Amino acid sequence: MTQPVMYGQAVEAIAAAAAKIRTLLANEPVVICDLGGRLHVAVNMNRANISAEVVALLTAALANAGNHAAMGNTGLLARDDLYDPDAVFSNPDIGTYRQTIDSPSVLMLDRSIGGQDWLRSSQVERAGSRIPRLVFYGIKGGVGRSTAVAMCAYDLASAGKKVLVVDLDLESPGLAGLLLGDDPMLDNHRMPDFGLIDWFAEDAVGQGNALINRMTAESPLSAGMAGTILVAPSAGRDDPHYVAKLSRVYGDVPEEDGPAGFGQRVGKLLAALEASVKPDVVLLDSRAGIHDIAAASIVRYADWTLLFAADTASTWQAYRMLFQHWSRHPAVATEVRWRLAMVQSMLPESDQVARAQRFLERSYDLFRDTLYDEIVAESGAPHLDQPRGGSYDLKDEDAPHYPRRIKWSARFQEFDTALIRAGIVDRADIDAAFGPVLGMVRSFAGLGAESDES
Amino acid sequence: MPYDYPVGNVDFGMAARRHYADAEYLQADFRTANAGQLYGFAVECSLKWLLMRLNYDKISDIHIPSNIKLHVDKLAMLIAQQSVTFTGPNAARYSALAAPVVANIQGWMTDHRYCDAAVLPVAFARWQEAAKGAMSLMDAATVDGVPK
Repeated sequence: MTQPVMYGQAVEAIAAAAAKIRTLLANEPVVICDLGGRLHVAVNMNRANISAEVVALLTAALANAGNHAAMGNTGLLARDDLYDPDAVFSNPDIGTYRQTIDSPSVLMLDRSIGGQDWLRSSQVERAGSRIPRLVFYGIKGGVGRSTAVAMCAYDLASAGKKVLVVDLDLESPGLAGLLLGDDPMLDNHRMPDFGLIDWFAEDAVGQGNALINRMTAESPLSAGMAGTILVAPSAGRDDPHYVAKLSRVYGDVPEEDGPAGFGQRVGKLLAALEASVKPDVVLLDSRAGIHDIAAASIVRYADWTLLFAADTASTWQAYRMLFQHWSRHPAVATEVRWRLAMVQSMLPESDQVARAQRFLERSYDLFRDTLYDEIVAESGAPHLDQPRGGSYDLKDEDAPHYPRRIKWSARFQEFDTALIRAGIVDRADIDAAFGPVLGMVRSFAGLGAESDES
Repeated sequence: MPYDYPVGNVDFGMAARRHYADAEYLQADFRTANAGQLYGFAVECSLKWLLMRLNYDKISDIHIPSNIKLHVDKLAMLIAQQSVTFTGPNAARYSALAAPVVANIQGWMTDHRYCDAAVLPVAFARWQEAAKGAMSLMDAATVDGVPK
């Protein structure tokens, strides 16, 4: 009985064939991985002009791809098989792919059901706005990410900045509770009329702009400060339809230029909010996990992303999965890696030096194995013009792997910003726990150089 | 007769592309009335091709559900009314791609073939847009791996 061919083996077989086909043709074939995980090769010439040698090569490769080979007669897609071949061969989602550092790069169009935004980088997308955007992301939840967002907003506002905080954690909204009141139900008057979820629902029927000026509210935390904290929560005031709207939020919606996907709509929303509020800096609280919200936030729209992590095996394993995905798509990886910064969250009170060292080493191992050393510019491959990243030293504080630390503190357990307003948690408490991260974020927001870690 | 076409010889995809190509041929020769008819049939075949492949596990182009076995004027209306929907995890993507196709084919009727060309609605350009969108819809589905 023959062994089934698994996904990775099939991709390897087809990518290797595509690399050989490239040497036989005047143009680059495109490997297409379709929605079902089946593989095709598109050749940008009419079928009659494709040589028997190429057809035989591809036929053999498809046979080696087992059940992951394209169905029917679509394994080889010639130019004249398509009504609009440029929509395939000039598709902006085509990227470079290689199985290992020793494999040749090929062009790939990865047609995934979700998560496509993990590979949609190259440049941070902006619609005329250059307001700095900082994403807070943790691949695992429960690491104090939202509290850190609140503390950074507090710090920036105290330094005179107008901060827009956007709660993109649509499945688990929480920033409104932290920044707009002890209890959003009791402090309902502080909630804006509409939340992000309302914008997605109304934009889908062409009227998102009607509510853009009623989606933010000022946090009482910034009362009396030189600056302001404006919060754009996931939900608006009294919303009994939140779940119904959420259930539609990830679908494409028809627009004049064709369907707009979720990631594209996130960009449109951010641009509209920034135009309405005109903040100095935007803090995005992203959903945890390998999720479309994180993909759009980190890869497409962030100037910089803080990667929150507690030193656990499951956290490193999950980050490795994500980084390995990027490492197989070097055009994205070479660009995204410069916009990442690790944060060691909830550093325990005991054995801090040893724990910090262990975290540093694990973070370095992760980056070195995936985003530093494996991406080497390859002659002739497109988009690989970034400098090699393998030159970072373990202790290089400017490197993406080098963590800023948040110390665990009982003061921030079940934290509520009302504790600050009541004077129970004070500035010294905040600085003691969050100091290095606040310094880094201040530097990002243009408030001077980062000071040495406390 | 249960079927009004030769059993086993149905290929909606091929038919869609053939109707579209012939429509373009006629349109280039300013034979607009019949071109308009063929644009409509091209849209009809492409929607049937996609609906059958998305909505049914085992493809059988000869056993077509009654709510799909319709000419495009009625089929498009049912899609617009959400009586006939695309299914599966990418349903929203195809609904979004099909939305302008369904909108642009409005006003097309099979029975236009009996009419004096002088009294036909002047919507050929819109129907042509619908047919172009339908061809792109089939391309997108092909690249997505929808054909089985």
